[in-house]
Amino acid sequence: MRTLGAVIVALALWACSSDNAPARCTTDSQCGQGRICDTGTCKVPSALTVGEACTADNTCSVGALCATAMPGGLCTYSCAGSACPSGAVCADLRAGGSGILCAKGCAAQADCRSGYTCCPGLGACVPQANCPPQGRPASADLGKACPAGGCAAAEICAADPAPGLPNPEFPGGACTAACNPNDQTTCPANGKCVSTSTGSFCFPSCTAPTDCAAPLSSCVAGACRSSSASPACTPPGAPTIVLGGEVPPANAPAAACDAAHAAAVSTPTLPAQAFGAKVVNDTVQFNVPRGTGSISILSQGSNVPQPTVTFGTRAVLNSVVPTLLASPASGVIFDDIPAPPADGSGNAVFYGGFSPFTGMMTLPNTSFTLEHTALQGGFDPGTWSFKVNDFALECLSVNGCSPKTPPTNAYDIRVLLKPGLPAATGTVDLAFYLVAGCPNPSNCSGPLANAAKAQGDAAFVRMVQTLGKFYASAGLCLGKVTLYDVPQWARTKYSMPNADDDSVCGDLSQMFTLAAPGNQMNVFFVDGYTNSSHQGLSVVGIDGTIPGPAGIGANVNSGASANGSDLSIAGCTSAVDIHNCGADEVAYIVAHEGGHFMGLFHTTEQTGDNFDPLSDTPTCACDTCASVSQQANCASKNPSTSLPTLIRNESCLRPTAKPVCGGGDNLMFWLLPGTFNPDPQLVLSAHQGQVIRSNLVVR
Amino acid sequence: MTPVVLASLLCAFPPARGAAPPTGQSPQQPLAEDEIRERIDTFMRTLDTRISDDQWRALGARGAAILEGMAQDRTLFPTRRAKAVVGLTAIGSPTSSNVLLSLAQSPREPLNVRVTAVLGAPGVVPASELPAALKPVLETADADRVRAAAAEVLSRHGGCDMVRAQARRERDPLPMQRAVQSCDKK
Repeated sequence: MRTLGAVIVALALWACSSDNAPARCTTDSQCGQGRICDTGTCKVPSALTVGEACTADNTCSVGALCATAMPGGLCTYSCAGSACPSGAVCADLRAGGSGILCAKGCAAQADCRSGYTCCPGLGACVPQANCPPQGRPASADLGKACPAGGCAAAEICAADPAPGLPNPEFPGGACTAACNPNDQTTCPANGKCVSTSTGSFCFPSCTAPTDCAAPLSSCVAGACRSSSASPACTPPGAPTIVLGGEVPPANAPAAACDAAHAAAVSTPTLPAQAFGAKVVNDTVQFNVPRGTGSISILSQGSNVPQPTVTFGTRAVLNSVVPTLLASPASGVIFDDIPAPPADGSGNAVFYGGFSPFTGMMTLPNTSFTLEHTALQGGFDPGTWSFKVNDFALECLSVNGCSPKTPPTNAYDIRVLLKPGLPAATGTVDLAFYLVAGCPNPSNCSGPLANAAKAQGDAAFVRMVQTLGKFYASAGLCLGKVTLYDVPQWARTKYSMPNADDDSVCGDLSQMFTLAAPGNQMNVFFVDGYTNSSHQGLSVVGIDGTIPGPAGIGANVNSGASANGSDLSIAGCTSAVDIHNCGADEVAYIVAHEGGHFMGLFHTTEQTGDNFDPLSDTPTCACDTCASVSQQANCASKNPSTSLPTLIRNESCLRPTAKPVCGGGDNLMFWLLPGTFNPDPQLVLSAHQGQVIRSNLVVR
Repeated sequence: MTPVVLASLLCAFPPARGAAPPTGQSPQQPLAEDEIRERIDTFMRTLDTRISDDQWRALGARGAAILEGMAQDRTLFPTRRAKAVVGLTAIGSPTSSNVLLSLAQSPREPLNVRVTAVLGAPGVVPASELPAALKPVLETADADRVRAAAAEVLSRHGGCDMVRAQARRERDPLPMQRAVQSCDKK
């Protein structure tokens, strides 16, 4: 993250969350004796069960939510990223307009509640409309464009979600059917059931491309698929490292940086609803088609003459943050004004990015919304709205904040949607920019001397491989890895950027504007960081903002940075070892900062009193998890201390303890692990993986 | 934004939350050896969270001695060694000046350690002695970036004549450019 000060401001104050739901809890203590807070709802501790009738989340067991759209309400949870409990089956009902959820397993109708059918094709109790028939004959229109008279019986027309937003699996629309990939008899005889990011659908069977026809003209794993379909991959993938040349400009900009126009507005490489330049306080409405699994609001500064506001005597950078975000069914689900809870997992939206000039808000990023979105097969369809907003506008209503002049700051607004829930796997492209490793401009040396050197350097290659192992725990595959040189002026200027200067004309912000256009995660290797006193700084990585503005380059927050000084193959063995293998340690740093870019927060912050908005990442509260002798000095118990206890990984390795003390082995803990090597397969939770795969940078 | 939130906002900045603690505070009591080592271990493992000068200073002279050893320990990752230098700079122990200047001059040391040592020199070398202490680094360090770092420090500490003279000797003016510009603004 950019600075701790920024984090404190962002997490604790400005970047607030609220979902207007009544009496939503954020801590167990709010629930009273003998009750706990479970993803925003107070419950009596219980074993996880699914299948009961319900009217609201609080009547379900701990870990389950109420899918109110199901007949009579259904206590369940999404199995998009988690396994189902014993006796339940993961049922992907999205093709039928529902969600992906744990359904009660059954062998006979007597096993099911009223309103539910024991579906042989699923082996679970589901509404009759969601039960795919078995043993169907071949279908003549399977995979073909939807005829005017409609598709054959028991089939559906999978149409484009909206004009200009093609269905990635069935561009232009095609006839298909809901099915169960574990029971291929649920497709017509000439079809194959495939689980996709938008649901489980029947595709025409094939053995060669000649068996297929437009719009499903590719034969992939025995099924005719669209070329725009979500590419399946097997993590960590097989990344290819290519050279991207030198990024422009070749010469340092002649004019001084103008904070009001710190970066040019970029056009995303992904489809977007564009609204042009909007002044703060304007309201924007946008359309969300049914089945949308991810919403990103991109605000790029187009003319921001007010770079700061002042609280008391302190200048605070003017961050852009959409507010009063409203969905058709729920009304306002995010208001930036109220203070956020220490744990935002029960809120609908958590906006923690400290984002002057340009910022991205991406949903879902809390457990509450991840679960509910998956249970209903996507976000509420219809017209959504939000108010274009920044701190300068909020300042008008805050005593002690100045100026009080109504701001005229303008932002280019675009809304980018991802159809479907995140698939189990996804691919991310990476770009590395070599700002580091050059003691003499005319004679750079080491693994990061230049892109061509790095491409074949064993330490760099090892770093990429290890990075892939860490991200594999989130279902990510690494795709194309592009190495860029930066011009010598930039290498000289930014090799140790001043990380205390978060302003849009500061070193970091301007370094990030060197990012190439395109949809990739940009990582800048530097030699270190300096502070406002021009001395060294004890951090090894800094991300632009959370999440980063994916899909565009060349903006003030378009990347993350990492210290590449430890990049070495010395001490490396076949196992990942971040303590002895420099390449592995750098991979960990890059993975952590990249995690921020893709929307993840620290599972637990340094003083152990702020946590990420995900309920499946164990918390580690200082006042209960630190060693007993240090608990009294925790910030939560002694707010006036100038040197509070810092919570360490080693105190956070008891996720099943009561109270929980976990997350010390998570990639997004605030510290590098000390006495142990993290298991690459376990460094990210299911919800963290879903947040990452919901990000636009993952395809 | 409610008054409560505003109050929270104002309260968030003091060092209690670790944002940007003011300098000059001293620890209440000397820390035990175990606690010093544990804190250093913690500080060495930070990723993107800053350690304030006060947090470093609380380690005291004993902490400085440990950090001096770490800064010179070639078995450690360069980033850890550079962090140790950052800590020494914050603590400001005069015994650390030789360590930092030695690191800065040594071509065997990693670039980031050398540059961090040069930038940290004002924290451990008395201001009156700084120009003389950094003159050899400015004039003879083998790496352009190290000489440039010395120039930048000297440009802020009364060494502009030396900076300009060295800039004239440099074959590539780019690394020294920022220091020269800093001097020209004065």
